Amino acid sequence: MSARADSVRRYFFAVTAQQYSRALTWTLIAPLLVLLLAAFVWPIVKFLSLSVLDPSPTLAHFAEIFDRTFYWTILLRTFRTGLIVTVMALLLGYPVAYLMANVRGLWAAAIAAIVILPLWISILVRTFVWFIFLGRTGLINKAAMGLGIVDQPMRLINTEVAVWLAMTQILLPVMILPIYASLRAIPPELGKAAEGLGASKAGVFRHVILPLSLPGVAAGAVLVFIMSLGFFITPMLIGGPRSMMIATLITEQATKFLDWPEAAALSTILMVITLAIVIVFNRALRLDRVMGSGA
Amino acid sequence: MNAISTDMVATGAPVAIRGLEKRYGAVVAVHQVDLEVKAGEFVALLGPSGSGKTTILMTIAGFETPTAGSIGIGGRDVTVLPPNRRNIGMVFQRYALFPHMTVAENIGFPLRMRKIGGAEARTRVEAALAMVRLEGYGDRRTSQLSGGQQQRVALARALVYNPPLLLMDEPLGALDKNLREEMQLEIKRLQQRVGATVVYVTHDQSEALTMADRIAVMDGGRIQQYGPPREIYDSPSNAFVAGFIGETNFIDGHVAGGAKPVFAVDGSEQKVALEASGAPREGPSRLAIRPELIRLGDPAGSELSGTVEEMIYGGGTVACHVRVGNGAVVMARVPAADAIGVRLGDRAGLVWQADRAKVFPR
Ligand SMILES: Nc1ncnc2c1ncn2[C@@H]1O[C@H](COP(=O)(O)OP(=O)(O)OP(=O)(O)O)[C@@H](O)[C@H]1O
Ligand SMILES: [Mg+2]
Repeated sequence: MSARADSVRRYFFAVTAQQYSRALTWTLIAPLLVLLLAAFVWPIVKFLSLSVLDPSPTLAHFAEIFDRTFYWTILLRTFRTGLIVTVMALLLGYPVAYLMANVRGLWAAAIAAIVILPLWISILVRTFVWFIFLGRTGLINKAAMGLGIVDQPMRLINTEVAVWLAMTQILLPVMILPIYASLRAIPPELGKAAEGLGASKAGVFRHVILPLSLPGVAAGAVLVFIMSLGFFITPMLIGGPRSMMIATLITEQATKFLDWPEAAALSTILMVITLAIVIVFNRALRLDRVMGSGA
Repeated sequence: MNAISTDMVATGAPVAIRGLEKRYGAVVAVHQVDLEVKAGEFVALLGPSGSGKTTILMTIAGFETPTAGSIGIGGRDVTVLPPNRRNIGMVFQRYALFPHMTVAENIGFPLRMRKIGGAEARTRVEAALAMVRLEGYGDRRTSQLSGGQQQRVALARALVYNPPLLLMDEPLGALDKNLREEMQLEIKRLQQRVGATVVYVTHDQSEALTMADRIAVMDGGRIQQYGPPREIYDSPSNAFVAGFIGETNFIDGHVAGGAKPVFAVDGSEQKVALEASGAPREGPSRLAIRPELIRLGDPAGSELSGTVEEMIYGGGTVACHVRVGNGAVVMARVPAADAIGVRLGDRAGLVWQADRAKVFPR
């Protein structure tokens, strides 16, 4: 092979056995990049720009939002719901992930199936399941009346609590899986070392397992939080109009009132606040890791 | 502050293992093991892979519960005590340093678990760092250290609270040869300084021979021989130990004759006189002789002789492979000067002191 052909190959294909050349890397990424730009980034930019460009450059749409306390109530409710759902999913999900990471064989498979199978069922179905529990003639009301605890069916559906429960249940796998992955990545001899050095089982968990699983907790929490902010079907069906969340509001603005600039302004606000929270969260966590678990 | 806190003198605890047995389902990992370790003694568990070394260590540490038998540390029966209550120091093959803690936090971990904090903990951590010659590394992250440094941190962490018993499972297995030899001396030096009892698992015989006061040679879940390195090397008590430690020639044959026993080599007419006092049993046996104990002699005047098949030059010595019968090739490691003039295909006599050969039943 000629020296020139050789240098072209080297330029285009591989720098070393472990690393492709820059040219090849970009060539391989390009199709996806083009698709993302054309079908995702551009429409979003176009849509969001409506909030300040329609009909001419203006901040009127934002001003309108700031004026309406109704919007603020919904925004606040959205973030409150996100926070509560994240905390509930964490409290329920961590023990499951821990169990999953620490059992073997059939049990591990069974738990994994319970966690993952619901992901294959549509969110709509998983939402409607809650009617069977919480509806006027649902299981809980029937049981409570049968036992004589109440004599009128309680209003369980169309409450914020019902939304929290349903969303937590739906988002639980998203919390469990990253935590499970980070727990499995902890070398088992670390626990043994800690125990051999004098830590009790609780001490091993507190000082070794928990801190080392925090990246998984962070990933799960951020995912659940962000996904819950955009939840649409579940709050609409289970929460009803009195528990409206921002995704429903945006949809109504766009489809019912055909006020696209207003919908764009709301979307922008949602996006900015979400990004800010994620960045702050990331910062806090990284700092925590650098400082270790401290004394 | 406590006056004794900075000096690292601990007294070792004796270890007594009696009738230890460990099964995993149908697999018997350890069979009826008895092992006494004196206070301050350095004992190596040496054996091939799967021989049960780690299992024994883990039952001493408390991570495995024996199927039968008992473990005593410092005169106290600890068979059912959890690991964190046994007051042991542990060092693992892959260091097992906590990646989310700095070097100093790692070393301070056992102190924290014992509710020792503040100035005393700091002084002790500093002393432990100095002991493994890593002064000034306290604030580093463990990932910023070389393998040898990480293992020294693991050692400091295990020694910082003066445990009377230190357990190590192939602590140098992940290091390269030079570093390993350096660390062997360092560990030995530290152990002598702090006086702790050490049980040390290795499958590297030179490591065991260099470091240990006594070696327990293991195979198939049993202790094959337990004694000082010299005794293990010079008087192996069975063919496994003779073959596992150092280089050994095995010659198959039969022992015959009462008062003046001889060893008849299978597949040849040759006979070798044996030491009568060893009183080897008559019948099929196996003779073991170390290559460096054999000299080359005049084929006519020697009891055993054969054809030189191979000569491998090794600096100061030459390894001569001599075929003495149908099946048996004996290797003699002789000074290079003695091999001058010996050619491939020559006949050579093989001579050794009768009492240096061991005969084991077959
Ligand atoms: N948890 C377990 N389950 C089943 N069998 C096991 C288990 N742990 C060890 N064994 C078996 O017990 C025997 C002894 O194992 P052990 O780990 O003590 O060997 P070892 O001497 O430390 O070997 P190595 O030098 O490879 O570390 C082996 O046959 C092994 O397969
Ligand atoms: Mg082992």
